Amino acid sequence: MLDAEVLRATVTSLRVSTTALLLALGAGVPLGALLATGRGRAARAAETAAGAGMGLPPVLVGLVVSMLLWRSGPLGRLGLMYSVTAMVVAQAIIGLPIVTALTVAAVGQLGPELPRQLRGLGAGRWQLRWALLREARLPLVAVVLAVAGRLLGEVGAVMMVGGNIAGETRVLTTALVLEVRMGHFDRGLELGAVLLGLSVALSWGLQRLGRHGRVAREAP
Amino acid sequence: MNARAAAGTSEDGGRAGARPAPPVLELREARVRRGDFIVAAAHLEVHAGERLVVMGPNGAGKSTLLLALGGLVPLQAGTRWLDGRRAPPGRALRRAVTTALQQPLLLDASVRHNVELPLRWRGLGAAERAARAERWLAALGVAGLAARHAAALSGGERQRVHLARALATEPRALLLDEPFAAIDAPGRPGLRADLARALAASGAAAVIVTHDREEAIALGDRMAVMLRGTLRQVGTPAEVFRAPADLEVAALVGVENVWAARVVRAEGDLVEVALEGAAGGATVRALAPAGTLAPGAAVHACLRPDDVLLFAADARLDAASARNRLGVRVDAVAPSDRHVRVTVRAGALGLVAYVSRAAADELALRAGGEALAVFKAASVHLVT
Repeated sequence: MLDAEVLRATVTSLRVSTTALLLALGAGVPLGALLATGRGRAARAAETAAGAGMGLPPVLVGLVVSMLLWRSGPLGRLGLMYSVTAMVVAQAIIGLPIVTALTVAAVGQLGPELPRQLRGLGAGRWQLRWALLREARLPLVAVVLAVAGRLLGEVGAVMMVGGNIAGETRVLTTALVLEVRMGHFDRGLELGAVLLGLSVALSWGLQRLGRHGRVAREAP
Repeated sequence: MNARAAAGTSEDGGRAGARPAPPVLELREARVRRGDFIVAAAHLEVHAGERLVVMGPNGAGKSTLLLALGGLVPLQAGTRWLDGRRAPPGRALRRAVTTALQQPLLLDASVRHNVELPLRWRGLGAAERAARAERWLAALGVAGLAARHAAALSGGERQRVHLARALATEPRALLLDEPFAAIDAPGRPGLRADLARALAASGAAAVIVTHDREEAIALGDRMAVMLRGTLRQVGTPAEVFRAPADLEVAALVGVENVWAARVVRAEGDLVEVALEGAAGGATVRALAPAGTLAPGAAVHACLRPDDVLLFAADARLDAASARNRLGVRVDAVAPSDRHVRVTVRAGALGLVAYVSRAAADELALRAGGEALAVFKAASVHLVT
């Protein structure tokens, strides 16, 4: 049985990572579609930047967000340091380039002829992008899975900007780090099992979605 | 109905002396660059209800020309015109001119969704979308597939849905890139007939890219020949096939007999030329506009293999003055699915003739045998 503290950390983990994931998807998927269908140098430069951003070290994101939200920082007045909001912001920044770069790849694998054909049928810019995203929905499911897994397991940035405050900003990963530091390996294993369980559940759910898509396609 | 006549019946009801309607789509002094390849079209136009076939070998620039017409690649120079006015940029042009690319690329959705999506983009209501989808899927013989998923279609069905989707947009002009390329040979005549009927019903101007001579003849009211990025000749299929503008066009449209020759006599429109390499200075008669060729002029005489008749060597024929006769020896007899290709020789002069299987059997054509090759002066086209 999970005790109340583990349950709270699980709920906070899900809350932070899901919100950050939705923000990253909300901004990254349209941005990825924009870059995938863009032809200018700016689009190529942004695509390169997004690719490089996939490997952005979380502690570096944590550092930059901390500097911004620190009491004496430019956004210090907002009083967001060591809050769930700060953790969401940090994780959304970590997720954004990954979502963007993987969306560019997902749309790009459709090839150059499909966008041309859709334009030839009269698609406007965003109509085209929406149609391509819909067409790339199965690889985009993999994008969601990859980013969700990365955010759920992220520890550096949330530790720095959340502060690991029990009952407030403690998430599964920061709780696990704390328990191991204190030598409570059994508690660490318990938290690790919950993390693993979430990851498996997420993967199973998305695989079902993918299978549903394939079955629908093959139906006469 | 004659395409040009149809184009002339505009809002004025086709009154005598009324100005004809402008072309639906037109390129003027257009140049398109794709990598190192440049495609140029000094002038190309297509009228309402007309079917213009663009023919050329692979890599000639036909598809690029089509993309340029449809606003899918930018013009490096020149202008695009729609209904007599400068074509609007971007989406407005692409809503008036629909392009169907060579590959039948359908979205990962039902056939109905695929056909209705471009209509939804145009803001059409559900009832209108459904009616159009039903009408054009039926016109292409695939109405029963509307609920089927695109991934479950055969190649032929995909192509038909692809064409129905383009037709359902009911554009001013429809641009089709190799519409039969993905179809097996036995399925082509059926689709060709269905497409021809559907195009006639739509009334849209159509530009159809093909490398197939049979398709060009079957579908084209006019045809444009494209070679190495330039438009070489535009005319009716009969004009282009009968009187190709140059030797490359002649080769493309299936003129297998091309001889270097020199004009020896010109009287009115009847021209007599001496063929280089022919035994005994053999001459053939050809027709050419009076006064265009003087004795001594170097020309190439072009003759289609299907314009050559073969007779038994001792056949007695009526002495028609405008007919050419050459006593020949058979080099090879090669049957194909449609005709028998016979290679004959008159001295050093080679000649190819297509004859029916029945005629080949009756004449007992075989390598080494003798025959009489006969062709009309009107069949010989002189290229200067």
